[in-house]
Amino acid sequence: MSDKQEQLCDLCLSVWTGECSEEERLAFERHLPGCEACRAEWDDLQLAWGALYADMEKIEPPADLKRQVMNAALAADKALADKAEGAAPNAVRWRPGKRRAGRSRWWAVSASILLVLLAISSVWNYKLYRESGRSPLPIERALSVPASQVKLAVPLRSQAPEASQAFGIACVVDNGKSRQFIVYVYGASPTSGEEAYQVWLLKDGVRKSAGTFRVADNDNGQGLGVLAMPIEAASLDFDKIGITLEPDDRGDQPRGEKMFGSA
Amino acid sequence: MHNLTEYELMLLVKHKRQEALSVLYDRFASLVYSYALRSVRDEQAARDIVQSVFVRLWTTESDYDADKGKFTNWLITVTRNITTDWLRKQRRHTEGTVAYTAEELARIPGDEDASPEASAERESLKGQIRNAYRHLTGPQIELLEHFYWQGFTLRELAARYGEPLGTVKNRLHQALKILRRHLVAEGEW
Repeated sequence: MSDKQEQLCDLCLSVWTGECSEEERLAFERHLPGCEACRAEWDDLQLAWGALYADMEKIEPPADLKRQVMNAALAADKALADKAEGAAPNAVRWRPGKRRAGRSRWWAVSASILLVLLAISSVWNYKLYRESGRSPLPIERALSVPASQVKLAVPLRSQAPEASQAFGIACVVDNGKSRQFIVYVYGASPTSGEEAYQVWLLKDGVRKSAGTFRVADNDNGQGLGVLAMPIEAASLDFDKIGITLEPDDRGDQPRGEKMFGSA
Repeated sequence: MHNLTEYELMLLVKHKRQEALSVLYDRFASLVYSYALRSVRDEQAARDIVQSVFVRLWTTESDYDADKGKFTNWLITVTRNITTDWLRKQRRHTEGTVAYTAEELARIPGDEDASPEASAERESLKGQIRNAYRHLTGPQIELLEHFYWQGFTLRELAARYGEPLGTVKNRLHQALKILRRHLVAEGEW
């Protein structure tokens, strides 16, 4: 082995620990694939180094830390989105005072106003991220929301003989940040007064309300009805979907006639 | 989601699926927390490090590449980088070190290997590394503590020990070689 080769072999540990110059690192990276001894040495270092962390006691983190971490992740998203949107309009421009004595007073005033603005903006941001944990981001923040995709679509057939042309679809729409359960019906009879259509999710023989909607009489007879509900749980589990026409939108069990159903 | 591999979960994390981050947290929070606590020995700092690690997973552009090794090793590298940054910042403020006492250093190799618990532990990576540590000298253990766990550079340690850089580097090299010889195979903590 030449002296130069040996010098390169001696770099192995320095490159591994990152304590070398950029030239040395590049030279060693070029040398490594062709040197069997260095490859073996590199693998050995990797194995020994990769085991060092195991010399510790396993300690469970405090139970409340998870919430803190998840909230921090959301807040980091907001911070990144805000950064991308440009600087927040917190900067208040003040004309410099003519006199030195006036300058410090203006600084004090502008600093106070900035502090107040910052406090208001913090409260507002906190409110926004609290709300965003519960519901989808609004259309005004559309730039922060990835593309939606239908994850599940269930066709709904009319069960009412007098509205046999009616149909509907229920779907789960996911944009990576939030998911929604959405139901559309077409050709449904208009509701009157307190009446409302109620969507039921049937699981193991148990019906749970997924929400209510009304169908107006003024949409040129299309009988269009829409329900959109955010999904909080990891999965929306159901066997069948049914839609009934209820006397009001407050029932927790079906009382009215079934109007639509999944196959 | 709980059946997904770490690689699959990281792909979902890139698509901002919070459940995926939640599952990764459930799987690895104790690893990250234990590492941070072992390193900084301060509960509040360890909490902050766990938060930084998972926020970095959530917001990072860098990918975990399954072909380049186990997720655990990648995560430990991320954790060590963040922990080292924290320790170095602390040192800039205090100009001090998180000193290990002689008793703490002496305890590391462990000599309780006769018990059934110890023999079970030996099969794990933790058992293996602890067993391998018994073959190291005091200065080698001290060097690993300072270099690996406390994030000192070799140059800083050479100055601290009053020794030439080459000597310290060689000591680290020997220590890692000895550990390698006594590690049977890769395992999990």
